[in-house]
Amino acid sequence: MPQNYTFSASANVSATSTTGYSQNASGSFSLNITGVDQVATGRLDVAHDSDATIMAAAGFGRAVYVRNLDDTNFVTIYNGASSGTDPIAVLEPGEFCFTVLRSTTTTVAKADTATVTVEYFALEIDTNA
Amino acid sequence: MASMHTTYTASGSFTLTDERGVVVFSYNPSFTAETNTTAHALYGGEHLVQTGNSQLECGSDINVDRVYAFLKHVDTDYAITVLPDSGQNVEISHLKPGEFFFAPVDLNADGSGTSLRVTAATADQKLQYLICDALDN
Repeated sequence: MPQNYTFSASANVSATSTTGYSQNASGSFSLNITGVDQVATGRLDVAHDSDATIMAAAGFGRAVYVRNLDDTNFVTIYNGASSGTDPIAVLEPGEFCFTVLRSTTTTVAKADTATVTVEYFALEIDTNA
Repeated sequence: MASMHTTYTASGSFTLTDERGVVVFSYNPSFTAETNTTAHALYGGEHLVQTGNSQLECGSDINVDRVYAFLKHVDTDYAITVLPDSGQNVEISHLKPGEFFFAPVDLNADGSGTSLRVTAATADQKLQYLICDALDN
């Protein structure tokens, strides 16, 4: 498997009040990554009564994206087991999150009241990225 | 009594290409959140993140269970870690210069938090942010 990759990310967000007040923010960056052992991507069913693993413990860190594809229920994303850590994100239907983590913990997801499907990627990054 | 209504939109583009030029994945998500008719805050700015912890204080009148947070490292030297200030000390992002974080964040997982705690490694670093009240889950 190839071990050298280029990862590109960009995002735009906008918040607007009915008064007309508005703020926007955007960002973009790319990472050249070498020695990658884990690239996980696709769709995953996330149960409400157990943790679903987005990526097992990486050697150094990872970039993580998760989008909630469900129509009704929210899903929570954690850096580590859901029982003991702060959540990274609480995603309502249609919402997504993106983060870069430089730690060796596992990234997991847990739904609220019923199983939801998420779209995701988790990309292992090396110490130089 | 006055009220504050906000709308929030987000979009992104994420692509991974291998050394042979093959696109491994490409995602282009976007969403527009349902109008928040009980919003209390919409603000952004630039913050010089300290090495000994800085707070992006959101205040207890916002929905501490869910805020849209976009943070971007705009300095050139050292990493910035991001944590909800709810006492559990688990980072939710680790940003090197140029990198960004976006998520609807629960500031209050253990019942005590109203802010994001950001910490620079080695020397103070600049961070830009946009934070907006989100509807509760």
